Amino acid sequence: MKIYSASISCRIEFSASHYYRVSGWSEEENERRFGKDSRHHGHNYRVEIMIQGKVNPETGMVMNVRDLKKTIKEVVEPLDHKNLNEEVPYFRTCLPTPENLACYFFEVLSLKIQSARMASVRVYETESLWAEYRGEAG
Amino acid sequence: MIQKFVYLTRVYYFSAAHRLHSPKFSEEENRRIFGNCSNFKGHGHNYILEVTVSGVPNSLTGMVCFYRDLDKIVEEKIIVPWDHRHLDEEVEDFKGKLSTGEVIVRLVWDKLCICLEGVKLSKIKLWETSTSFFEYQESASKTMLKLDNLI
Repeated sequence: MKIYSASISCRIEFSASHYYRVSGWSEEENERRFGKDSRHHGHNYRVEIMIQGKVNPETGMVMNVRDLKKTIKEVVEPLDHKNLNEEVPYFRTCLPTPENLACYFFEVLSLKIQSARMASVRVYETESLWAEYRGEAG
Repeated sequence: MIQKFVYLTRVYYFSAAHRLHSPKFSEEENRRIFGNCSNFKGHGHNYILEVTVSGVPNSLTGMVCFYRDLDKIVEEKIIVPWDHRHLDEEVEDFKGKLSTGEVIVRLVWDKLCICLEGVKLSKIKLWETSTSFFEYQESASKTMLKLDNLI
């Protein structure tokens, strides 16, 4: 059978707190721009990771889903029940928005997953707001 | 460092009445083409609207755009004029148009496109019921074409 590509998606959840404040802005400016997001609050985040690769004809798999889930867990779990602004080093230099969270997970997972290509990371902050990064340059 | 291009989706809700019925067709043809959607007295849906914008997140705010700015535009252009209305009978946007899902996604696209600044509109998705949705996005080739025209 001809070699073909397929994608695998996994979903994981974590709960964390954050706030949006730009250090160079006054309290009023932050409140005006970010509204209630400038206050310390939290979310149940949902992350959907999609990888893509060639299906190994011997195993019938792009990669073992169990291994993929283990890797994802190693990356996402350290953020669970944390204050993203203050306890996750990556967010000392940028705000923990769903956009930046998607980029963060994409970057870290890309380094850990060798046998397949990272296709996308989608981070749901709520059911009505999510961000997706597909590794594209602007 | 590469500039990362990110997609942001926001979900909005509106409930409206509509009726699929074209004056170009006879009563019988309307019933044949649109089925129970052409019911004389109308019917309605809880619509779910997904608006996807994209761009490089701002280096300070980490955002593709301020969600509240996007919310304000969608509220003003779509939700306020359409929510709890009869789309075909009461809403100016639908004058001379059929209120099918396909038409609605295109209408939302056209209305939002001209209001958004500094961010690219990427996709409009409309759930008419929990079992059917409609999507509109402009193909990459079309975007390229626009750029070529500018040059």
